Amino acid sequence: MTSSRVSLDDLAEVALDVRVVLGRASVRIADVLAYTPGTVVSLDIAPDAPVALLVNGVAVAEGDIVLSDDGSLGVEILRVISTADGAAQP
Amino acid sequence: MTHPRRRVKWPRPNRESNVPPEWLPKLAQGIAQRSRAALRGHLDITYDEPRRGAYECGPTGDRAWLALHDAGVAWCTIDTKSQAALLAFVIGGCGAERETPIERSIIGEVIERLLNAEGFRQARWTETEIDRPTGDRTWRCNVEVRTRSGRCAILQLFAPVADRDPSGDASLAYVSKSDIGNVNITVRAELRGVHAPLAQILAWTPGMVVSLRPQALARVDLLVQDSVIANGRLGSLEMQADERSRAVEIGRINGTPAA
Repeated sequence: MTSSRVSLDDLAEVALDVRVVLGRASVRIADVLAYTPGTVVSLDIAPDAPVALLVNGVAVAEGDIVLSDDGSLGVEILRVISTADGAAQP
Repeated sequence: MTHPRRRVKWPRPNRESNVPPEWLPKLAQGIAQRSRAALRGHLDITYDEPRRGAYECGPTGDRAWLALHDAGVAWCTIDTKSQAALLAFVIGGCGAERETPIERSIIGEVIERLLNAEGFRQARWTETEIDRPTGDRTWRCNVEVRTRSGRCAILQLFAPVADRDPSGDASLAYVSKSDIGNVNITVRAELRGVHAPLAQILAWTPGMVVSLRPQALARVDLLVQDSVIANGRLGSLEMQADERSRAVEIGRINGTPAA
């Protein structure tokens, strides 16, 4: 059977890049050029603030970093960012 | 309705040197001196100060010599009329109505002897059939050999215009590292990505856990735009009393682009 449109099912297995943004920092170029191993870069966010989940560069959710009982790491989703919220910056 | 395309041209700083190469008038002077010794008759030999000027082929063609020397490239061109005059200065009379191979050879020999001026003996002048000075970025300097009767041979010397030395020239100054150092850029800290199928992402809902790579916290990337500049491990930093911020301690500087 043929269809005139591509369905989401057709794209279901397409692998997308998921990244977790921990925070940002506005830094002078001179300071970036002075980075060496051991430098601590302070981010503009509290340690317990949610992280952003980016899918192919677009923020789609926020969550907390969690460590499960078996030692695996993950992000527990707190909020899904809808388009009504405005696309968050990567 | 169609609109004609317009190309916007932005003025560019003039990077051309306005000083002719020192060797060009010296070459002209040397040719003038050798002409007095090599050519016959009462000749008035003069040469110009170098000036900007593009090469133009003579109406009935010309011959050209090219030399590579320590200071750069030089051309000498001479049109057909000047070749005939030069021949007359050598043989003491007019050549054949139609140039013979011997006459052509004599003219070539004389020009090469004149070009072999003091200070240019190391330069190898080679006659070239196709190479000519191109564009208008050339200095031009004519050596004129003239008899009282008005017969005249002009050797046209050309040298390319060099770029200006940017030192001390505000219009050609580059942005220095110290100037740009005060510009702020955004550094982003990310956990190394995973790949997830679209179907799984569409099922994301509050409470779900998206699995990350093991040891992800030990490998945090610091990015500027799409370039990973460093990586390190996640921690926190005490800023003031009761105020802490998330932080990354750099473990390795890495200039490779983000995967």
